[in-house]
Amino acid sequence: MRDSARIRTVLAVLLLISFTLVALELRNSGNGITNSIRNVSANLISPLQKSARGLSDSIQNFGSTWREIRTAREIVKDLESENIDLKERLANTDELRRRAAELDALLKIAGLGTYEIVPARVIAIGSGQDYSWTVSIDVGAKDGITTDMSVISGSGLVGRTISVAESTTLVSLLADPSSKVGARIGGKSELGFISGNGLPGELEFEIFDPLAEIQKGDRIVTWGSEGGRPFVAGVPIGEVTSVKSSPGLLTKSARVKPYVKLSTLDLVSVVVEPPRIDPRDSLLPPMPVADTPIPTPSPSATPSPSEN
Amino acid sequence: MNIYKYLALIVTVLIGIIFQPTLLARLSLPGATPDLVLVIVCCWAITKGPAVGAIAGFIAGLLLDVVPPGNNLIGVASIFLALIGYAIGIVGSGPSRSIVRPLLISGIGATTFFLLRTIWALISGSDIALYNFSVNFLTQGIYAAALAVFVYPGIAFLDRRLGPVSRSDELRMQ
Repeated sequence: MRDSARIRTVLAVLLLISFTLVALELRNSGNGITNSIRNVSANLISPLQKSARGLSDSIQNFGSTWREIRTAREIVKDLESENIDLKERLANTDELRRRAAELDALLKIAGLGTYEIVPARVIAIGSGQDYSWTVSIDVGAKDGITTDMSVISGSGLVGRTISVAESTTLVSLLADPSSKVGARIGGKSELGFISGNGLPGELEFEIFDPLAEIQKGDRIVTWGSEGGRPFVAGVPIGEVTSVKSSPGLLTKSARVKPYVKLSTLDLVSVVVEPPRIDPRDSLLPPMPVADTPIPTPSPSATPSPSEN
Repeated sequence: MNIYKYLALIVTVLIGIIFQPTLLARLSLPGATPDLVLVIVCCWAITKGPAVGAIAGFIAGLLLDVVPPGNNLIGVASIFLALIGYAIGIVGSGPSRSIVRPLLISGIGATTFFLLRTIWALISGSDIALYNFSVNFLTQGIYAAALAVFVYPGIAFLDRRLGPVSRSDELRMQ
């Protein structure tokens, strides 16, 4: 059949183009033509994604408003329009208040460590289906962002910037399998690496010293890179949930739950200027119980009121 | 296929590319994120056969890798999706009144795509944890089938609507 031969040719041509692109990118490894394709597409599509994100916000607001309308109609007809108006405003202020609270948290953490930050909103979230965890945010080169800057949120480290377009930036999150962060246990100087494994709620912590003492509940902060890039020092990362005993291995490893909920990010900020002095452990959330070496039987005796 | 249908194909794929990471990823449903882009490719392959399926898959894969937040090797997703579009066009295209077939095919397509990407991640040497694999695999298929309920009629409608009118336009131009 002539038709099926033509179809096979189409497929062959498409596959050939794809393989050529793979080869091109492997050869250039991040710069050259594929990088400029990425930048062009970021400049073209990101504004559309930005408005789609705005749309999703207003759909959420509209949904809650619509439910209010229906009950109001049943009770008092006259109050209907006024009610809609008020509820709508309320829905908006809730959203604004939530955003303000997140900003406050950001400012607090930035103030404590005296980082200079640029706040940003998350536009698009990589779905993680290909095991890579990346998000794009709405600040870019025109806001002074460059690659390899730390990205933090109100509760801790989020990731680092990996590619910057005019007004958007791609951020690689902690959960990304390619992510590796130098880290240490809070209050000690035990060094190690935090790496992602493609799951948003869990990180791997590998400690260099196999004899290091580490236990469940230990808090992990960034060690800090040379010149604060890509990672500034002293940013909280997460809490140890379990320690893997691995006798015979050269390193010890533990599982860490990140402080930041990586799958539902909204407001983040990019650290453009690292602090002049290492904040050490001052940014860690307050301990639930007094800092004793022996873990108490009831873990959360006094829930800490601050930190969300 | 005529020029209008190719335009419609590109626009629908773009809609998927724009809304998947901004809207669907934000829903934070249990398990995987619904793969709207893949469902759109499947539905084009079902309505128009293997050649269009492969082209839709190629375009979608390219955009998935190029447009932020995509950050993979450019070309890998387009190889996978072109093959999936082609295979679905061979196996699953043809006239059908029932919605069940596109639903099933989209589910199978989505799980296949997920499987291929997992294998690729393992081959290319990234350290990934696979505890959630079975949950993600299942939810991926279920969400894709659910999306196909809306996407398939839409694309079938576009196909019918753009069909005869533009073909006569094409003849006039020649």
